[in-house]
This record gives sequence, structure tokens and C-alpha cells, in this order.
Amino acid sequence: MSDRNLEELLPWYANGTLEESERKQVEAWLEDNPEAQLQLAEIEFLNETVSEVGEQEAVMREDLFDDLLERIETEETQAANELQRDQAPSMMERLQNWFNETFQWGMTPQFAKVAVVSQFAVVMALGAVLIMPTADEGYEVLSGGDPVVVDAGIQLDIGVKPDLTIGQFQALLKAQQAMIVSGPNSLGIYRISLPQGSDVDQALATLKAGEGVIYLQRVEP
Amino acid sequence: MDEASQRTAEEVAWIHSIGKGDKAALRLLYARYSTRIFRFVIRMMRDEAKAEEVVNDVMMEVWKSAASFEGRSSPSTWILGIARFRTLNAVRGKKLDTVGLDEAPEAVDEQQDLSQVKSQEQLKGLLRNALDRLSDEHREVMELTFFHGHSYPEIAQILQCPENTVKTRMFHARAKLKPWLQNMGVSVADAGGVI
Repeated sequence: MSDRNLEELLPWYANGTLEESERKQVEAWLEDNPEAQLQLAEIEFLNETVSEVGEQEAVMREDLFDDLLERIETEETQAANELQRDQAPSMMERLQNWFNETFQWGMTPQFAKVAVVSQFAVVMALGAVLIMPTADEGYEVLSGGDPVVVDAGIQLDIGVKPDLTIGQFQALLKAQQAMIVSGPNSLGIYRISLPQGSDVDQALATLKAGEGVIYLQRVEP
Repeated sequence: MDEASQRTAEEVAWIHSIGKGDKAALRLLYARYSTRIFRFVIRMMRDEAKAEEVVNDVMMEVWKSAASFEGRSSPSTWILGIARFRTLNAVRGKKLDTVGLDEAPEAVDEQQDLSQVKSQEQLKGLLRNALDRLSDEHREVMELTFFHGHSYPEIAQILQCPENTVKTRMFHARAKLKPWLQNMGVSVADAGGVI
């Protein structure tokens, strides 16, 4: 080993971490070599200086350790939740399990599977048709279903103020012998019917002037 | 078994316990290493709050990886290797706050005062200032050798570099400190019995 190589090993000779064979070579080199001994002295001074700085700072921070424990617990809780979520079967898996348990799906012949799936699809399609909105979605009747025509007479749409009482509304209609055909819809409009032979213009004017009437429109046949 | 080997065996046992979820063992390891990690990290980061965060990042990594620790390196090498990796991640993109010893303007003033400095404590204080001005690469090799007491193969493992690089860095670090040591009179008997 060259002098340069041996000199490079001096720091680790000083900190006592050299392999036995290397240590012996360095010791042999140091012997009767004042310059090398001087370098070793420098290194030992460095060693001492660096070590002392560390001794001054060696204090454990309990608060930081508490932070670490808190972090560990948080991560453990999150990991446990994720695991639980991962293990929970999805909707499709649950459906598949239900099929397997109910119909012994694994043992069912192929043609039977096709038949069951087709029937299931038909049921789903019918269900979808039933819950599909009707064309008159915007015209809602409180009693449900389509409006029923009770009279073939003249029909009007009438809207009244929300604070008009039922008694006042009934009196208004009674004066014209009008009947409610349907309503109110989602806008609060009623459809009413006047008796055959009524003076429509007169009835319209009277109703329009009635207290609480905010909308009136004849329904064109 | 010598003292160092006993410490290592003790730490290996703690790490295995930590791998089984033992928080008491984690506390023991934390007590022994948190300051060492902090010291190692602060030299590269120069930011105490961030260095404290990195210490806990490292110990968190230890907590998570303890079960897979195989003892192929010493606990100290393993932990400081994690610390270095974490620190480099934390400072990635930022220029590290270091300056070469040759470029340090303060060095001139301090050298001028050396004629009046004679006590060993004063000399050590000045040397510590000089060490602070070394580049990170040079300083970390010094620290890992003299403060952490690692062998050069262990340092190579921590720094993820060839052993010869470790030796070369140490050689150059000493070369940069040499003028200071000579000016301080450390290399002769003036240093108050250094040799």
C-alpha cells in the first residue's frame, strides 16, 4: 500500500474502525515516521473537536417523539380503514354472491343462465318504463293521475293569490257556477269549467275582477 | 463482546421489536438516534424546523421498515442512510447553503486573530467555524467519521458512493482544513499538548 493510501486511512485509524490488517499496516507506517504521526495528531484533534459539538447537543425532544407517535397512530387508523374498504365487496360482487347463493349459479347450465339473465333484463326494462316520467310532467294534479274532464263546457285556467282562503275561492267559483276540473298544477293554477250557455265574456270579466285572482286564461278547445 | 458490538446488538434487538409494533423499543431507538439524525440533517439543511421534520420522517420510515431490516448493515448505517435520502428529498431543487472554505470571507479575519488565540478551547471554536464552512460533501464525511464513528465502507453505504470517493473526500476536507490547523499551531506543540 502506498503512502498516500495509508495516509487516507488515518481518519479511520483514529476512530478505531479499520480492519485488523489495515490497522497493522497503518501502525507499521506510523512507526518512525514523525510526519505521519503529526498528521495523526491533527486528525485526533479534529476527532475531538467534532465529537464535542455533538455532546453539547445530545438531548431528546419528548414533544417531537409525541408527534411521531401521533403520526403513527393516524397512519395506522387510515391504513385500517383502507383495508376494511378494500375487503368490503363491491356492488357487482355482492350481486354475484347473491346469484351464486340463491341460484347455485356455478352449477347452473349455460342455457338456464341465459334464460335467467334475459328475464332479469325484461323485469328491469319494465321497471324502467314504469318509473319513466309521463309526457305531462309539468302539469301535476294533487289527486294524482291525468285530469278528468267532468264537463264539456268552457274551460278556464285560473290562478289566485296564495293567501286566498278556500272559502273565498269557493265563493268566487260559486258565483259563476264554475267547477274545478283539475289542479292546482305546480304553478298553483286550477282548471275550472263554466256551465254550458254561460256568458263567457261576462264570466271572465267578473272572475278577473274577483279578489285574489292573479291569472285567468281561457283554454282554447 | 466490546461496547460498540453490544450497542449494535442492542439496537438490532430494538429494531426487531419495532418490526413487531413495539413502541417502547421505538422510544429507545429514538432517544439514541434523534439527536444524531438531527445533527446529520441540519448540516445539509440549515433549517431547524425542517430538520426536526426530517428526523421524524426518518423514524417513521424506521417504524415502517423495521420488519424488513435484515441486519446486512449496522443499525447506525441503515438509519443514517435513510436520513440522507430523506434530507436530499427535502432539499431537492434547492441549492444547499454551503460555501467552500477558500471562498469564506470571514476566514481571513479569524486567521488574523490567531496570534492572540492560544487556549485549546479557543482553537477548537475556530476549528468548528472552519468545519462549518466546508462543503456538504466534505463535512458529512468528517461528521460520519468523527462524530458518528463510522468506518469508510459504512460511510460509502450511507452516501451511496464508492469507498475510494469517501477516502478522497476526507483527504480533500483535511487539505482544506490544513492551513487553519497550521495557523492555529495545532500541528505543533503550541496547541497545548495536542501531540
